[in-house]
Amino acid sequence: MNNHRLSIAKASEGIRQREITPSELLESHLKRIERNEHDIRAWVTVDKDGARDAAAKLTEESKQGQFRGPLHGMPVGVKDIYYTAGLRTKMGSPIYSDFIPEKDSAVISALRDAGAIIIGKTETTDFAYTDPAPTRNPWNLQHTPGGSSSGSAAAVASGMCPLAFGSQTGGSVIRPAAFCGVVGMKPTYDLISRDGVYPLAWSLDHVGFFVRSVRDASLVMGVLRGNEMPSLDNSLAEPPRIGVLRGFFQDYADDVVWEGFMESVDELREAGAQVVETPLPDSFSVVHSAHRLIMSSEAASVHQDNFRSRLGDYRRKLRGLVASGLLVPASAYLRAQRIRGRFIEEVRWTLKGLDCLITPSAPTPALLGLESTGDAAFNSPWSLTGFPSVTVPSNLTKDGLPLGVQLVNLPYQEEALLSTALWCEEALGSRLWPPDYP
Amino acid sequence: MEPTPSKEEIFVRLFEEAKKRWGNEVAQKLKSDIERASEAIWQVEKFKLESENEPSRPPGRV
Repeated sequence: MNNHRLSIAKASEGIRQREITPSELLESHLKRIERNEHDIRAWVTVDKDGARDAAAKLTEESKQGQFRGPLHGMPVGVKDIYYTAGLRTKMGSPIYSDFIPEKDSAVISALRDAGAIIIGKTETTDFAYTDPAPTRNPWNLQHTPGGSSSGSAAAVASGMCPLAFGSQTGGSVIRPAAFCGVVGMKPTYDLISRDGVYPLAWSLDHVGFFVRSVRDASLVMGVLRGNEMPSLDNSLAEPPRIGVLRGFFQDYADDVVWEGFMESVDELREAGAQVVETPLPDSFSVVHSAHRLIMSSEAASVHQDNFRSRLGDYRRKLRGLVASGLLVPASAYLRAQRIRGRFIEEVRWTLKGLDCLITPSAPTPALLGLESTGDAAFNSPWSLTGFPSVTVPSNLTKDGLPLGVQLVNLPYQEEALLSTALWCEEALGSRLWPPDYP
Repeated sequence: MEPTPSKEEIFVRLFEEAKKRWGNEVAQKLKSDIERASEAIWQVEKFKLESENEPSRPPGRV
């Protein structure tokens, strides 16, 4: 049996039924990392010893009939901006090359309590901005996996772990998930604690994660929320009512993306979804500018001290972001926050009577080369609102690169959003594995 | 009332500030970032807002 192909739901059931132990599951994934990491470069640190110790303890617990829940014994990758006690956390930067946190971030602590095994730290762009990490896309090693959560997306896509955590300030979960053909979830802003996650821009940063199916996303959300998420079984009584956003999204998308997206929308319609053409709110015309000003101003404040003393350790893109943020007047920052407030209200209205909004997950498929991680323009509006979003793999381009659809709903409607996403996942029927990493 | 400054005026203001902070050589390297910031400032400055449009409260903080 290829244990690395098991979903969280299946592996968890196997552990509960004592058909597989956490140690066996871990070894399958460590073997997978050993075999593929040279090509993909998803990991900064693989903590074999720590993971094996944790797996042994959890194996012993399961032998005694103790089961902590759906993440009991599940190997997890974590973006290298999450503090992990005793495990180096570099933030993708030489500035923190020797930094070993004393305590876990809140998410890591919750994961360990739930029985998850922290297998290691995944590659991130510098401080979760856009200067690329060395990670390659498992679908085609010549292409970017996206970013900033590059290693987490690639690790899940290539079966190195069934779950990995990332973060999103612009599009750093949804875009890499789409580029790598996996499910990416960004819950409502601050629903999941950011405590112990190195910030890029406080009011925009979200915890997010990568899995291989919507059902797995629901299990993870349940654990993160203290098992408040009910099972998705039969949760959608009738096909969803989905609002398609065109305008900017159609104009800005590559032809191959828009054609693939419209094929997916047609499939959803044929499966019974009510597809509603939905106009963009008035303030959409300035949301990217507002997002840019908020992100640069807050990043400038985060980095101000290091920027003075370690300027040479900042790569080009982050250096530009921080420097320009230091120049933005307070009045412009506040005006951007006012536009954000207006946009949030307008999107609430737009979503009335709909189960979700739908757009392509990114304007392009994974770009050729590793110099750019792609464009966050289709994701940053939802990071600005703080509303939950999820990407579901939809189809492949002629060149064999994955595309995804992005679904967005109102704040705290994760359960409804995931129910709709499950319906879409089943209608699109596109659970994907990269051919070179089956 | 003071008119909304043009994109070019905003750029000049920011670029001069960058030169003052980091010198001409560094400011030149930052030119494209400063242009992007100027464009964003100009866009938000010219977007009409009402007095009831307060700065946002992200949903998780309610």
